[in-house]
Amino acid sequence: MKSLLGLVLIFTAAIPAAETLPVSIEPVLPVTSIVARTALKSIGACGGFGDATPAQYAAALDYLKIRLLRGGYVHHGHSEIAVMKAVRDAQKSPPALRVKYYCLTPGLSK
Amino acid sequence: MPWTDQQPLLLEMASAGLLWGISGPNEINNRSTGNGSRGPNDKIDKTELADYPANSQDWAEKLALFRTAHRAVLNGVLISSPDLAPIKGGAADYPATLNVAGLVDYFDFHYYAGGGHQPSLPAGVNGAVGYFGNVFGWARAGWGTHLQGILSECGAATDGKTYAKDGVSQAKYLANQELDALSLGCHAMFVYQLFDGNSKSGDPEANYGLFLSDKVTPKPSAVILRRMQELRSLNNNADDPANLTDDAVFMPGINPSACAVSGMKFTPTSGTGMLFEHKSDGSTIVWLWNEPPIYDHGKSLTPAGVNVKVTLPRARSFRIHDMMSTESLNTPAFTAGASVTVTLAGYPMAIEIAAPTGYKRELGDPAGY
Repeated sequence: MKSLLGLVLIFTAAIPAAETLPVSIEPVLPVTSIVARTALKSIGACGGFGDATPAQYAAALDYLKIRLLRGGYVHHGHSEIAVMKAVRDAQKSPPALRVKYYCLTPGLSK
Repeated sequence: MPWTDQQPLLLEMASAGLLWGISGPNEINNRSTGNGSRGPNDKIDKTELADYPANSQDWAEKLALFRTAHRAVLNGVLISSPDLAPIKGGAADYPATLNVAGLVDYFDFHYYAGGGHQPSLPAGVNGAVGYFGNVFGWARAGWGTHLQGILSECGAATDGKTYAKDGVSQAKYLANQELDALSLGCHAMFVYQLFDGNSKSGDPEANYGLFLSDKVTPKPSAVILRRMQELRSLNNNADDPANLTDDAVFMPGINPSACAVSGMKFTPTSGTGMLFEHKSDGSTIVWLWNEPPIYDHGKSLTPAGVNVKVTLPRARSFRIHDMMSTESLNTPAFTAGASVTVTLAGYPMAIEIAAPTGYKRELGDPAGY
């Protein structure tokens, strides 16, 4: 029971648990074990929204099967507040689209 | 827009369940483009390295106080450090951050290898930024050594001079980047960017998109990223509603520590990795990838294949998916065996191991591990 509890704890954590394999491999990157749904909810897109319509955002995000967008009020010279509102509106049309934002705050120099 | 004016919209979005997190300003250490954002209390010339720590802590405190003041609405909304640009030469700019681990949930950074390179190119190659793992480590060392990271920008431009116009090298780059980030401990990764600004332009900045500038046509990068999302979904289908509701704990269908791999040494040395993704139905996706050169003088390269053998604890049912293929994920037939050999050629291959017979999500493999 003790070991079972240990494994459950590992797989409820968001932090991937490093598990180095017991063989000789070139250790350029670690061997890691994660829950698939953690990755499914962790891949997003940012920037480059430009003049796309809400329907175009919705279609692209739905194609990619991603649930996260990084937007910001000021980023790389784009005024993205309009983008965030457009995607918020796009959210209302396709039922499968459940995108959340990761907002980028600006500095005073912008 | 001043920070005080942004707050009402953030709260509105959070109330609607649309807000995942808030980051500090963009590329706070970026002197070269002038995009480096400023902290709210910053009056110092941002070209001075000594300025960055003050910016970092200003913003970390601002965001922490904002979340505390509105905790009923912002409960569950994460906050992260200002993000860092990948500066050529690397380490000299990264320790310029202050430790803000007590104020934020994640550290935030950007990474672009550039120059047609793979994400895990050897440090110093052609003056490039360096191995992705180094940049991850440098950023974490500054913000807080126990924090997970958010790779809030990464990408490759298909302008024909940075990566090839055909989009193939971009696709391999991004697929490898995704697995590099997840395997090192990134909490999330964002691809810059969704649409090309102008796909016919030779300007790199206009060609980072996952879609062409018609906003409809997916590049190979969109195809492979979608395919990876499908494969890690229940029933290999990201549209399966269970993906959105199944959050209960479960036992993995295989113990990675009981597996072995051989053949993952490459000449010349390249980045490489192995990642186990466990699904709640007891199946497991084993990702394997290597990062030899994939681009040369305007053209996507096809590296020579290298065989890698994975040995399982006992005979299991599995099938192999080539992530650059467009074959349906349900087409390959399952094979039974205690070992699998796959050929790596610069992008991810996936071994889908079916759930063990009699798998129970509470107990895992009834035959033990």
